[in-house]
Amino acid sequence: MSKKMIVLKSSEGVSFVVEEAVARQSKIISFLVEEFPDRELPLTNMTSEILRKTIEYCKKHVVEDDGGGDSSSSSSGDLKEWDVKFVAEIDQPRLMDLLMAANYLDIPSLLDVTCQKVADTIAACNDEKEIRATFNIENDFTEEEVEAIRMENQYPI
Amino acid sequence: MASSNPSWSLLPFDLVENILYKVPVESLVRFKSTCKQWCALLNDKRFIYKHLDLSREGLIRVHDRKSCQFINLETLSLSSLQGPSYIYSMTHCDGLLLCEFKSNDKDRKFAVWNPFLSRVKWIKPSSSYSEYWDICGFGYDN
Repeated sequence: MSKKMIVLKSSEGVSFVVEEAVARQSKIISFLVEEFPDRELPLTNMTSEILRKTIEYCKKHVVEDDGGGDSSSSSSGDLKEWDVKFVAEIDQPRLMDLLMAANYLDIPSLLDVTCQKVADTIAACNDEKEIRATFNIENDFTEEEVEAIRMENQYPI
Repeated sequence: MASSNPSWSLLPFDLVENILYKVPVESLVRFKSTCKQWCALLNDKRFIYKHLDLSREGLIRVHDRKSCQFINLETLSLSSLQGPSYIYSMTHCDGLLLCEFKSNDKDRKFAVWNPFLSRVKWIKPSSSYSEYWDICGFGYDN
């Protein structure tokens, strides 16, 4: 039986032909293919680069129905390792884009690994200045307010 | 190059929350002054409880009745509390521990210990405290 394919279109208008089972890991796409079968799905706020990355993730995570065997327990460790490597290779701006894409397409496992990677990056920062610089966060505190928080933090518990 | 940095302000609020739930508490307390949004979130009781709920459990080991150690199972880091005398009792509330120490001459001291942040606050019982009639515990006053 041939596998059903669907077409996803990036913001630049580039078409990606993907197996339906792969794309259905996105709850939004899953819903859309049921509502609009045989239609190209335009993902206007996703660049080709991010869409390609998202598809790469979904391909790796697609659950094969034809296998039948319960090899999942041994492969879940490998898959976790693969996830760690996958997010480690992405630079900070693209990681944020991928996180937004996972949120937009509703792919819970991809959202989880990207959020975890951002959280690890935050935890590895030395101070709030480094966080602001890394994530482009505006400092909306006055000097006095920062000092007040610092004092409050000195409270022993 | 700075302009290519992602802008945090584009993130929906629930994603900010999801990310900060995954940051260990010992890092979070240092980063309260990052921006007003983070500060408000980190002071929000709902956030604090959920963060506590999602944190992995640790192990507490009481050694020789004199000291206790908290082992963070994720990082395997240790935090310990060394008392002036023997540990007489321990109770806990939302991640804080109240340890009561008692020496041979019946002198008592209490420690409120936050093992995650390795912070201790010592409390001296009032002079009217009687080991026979008074019991100790802790919780919220509102």
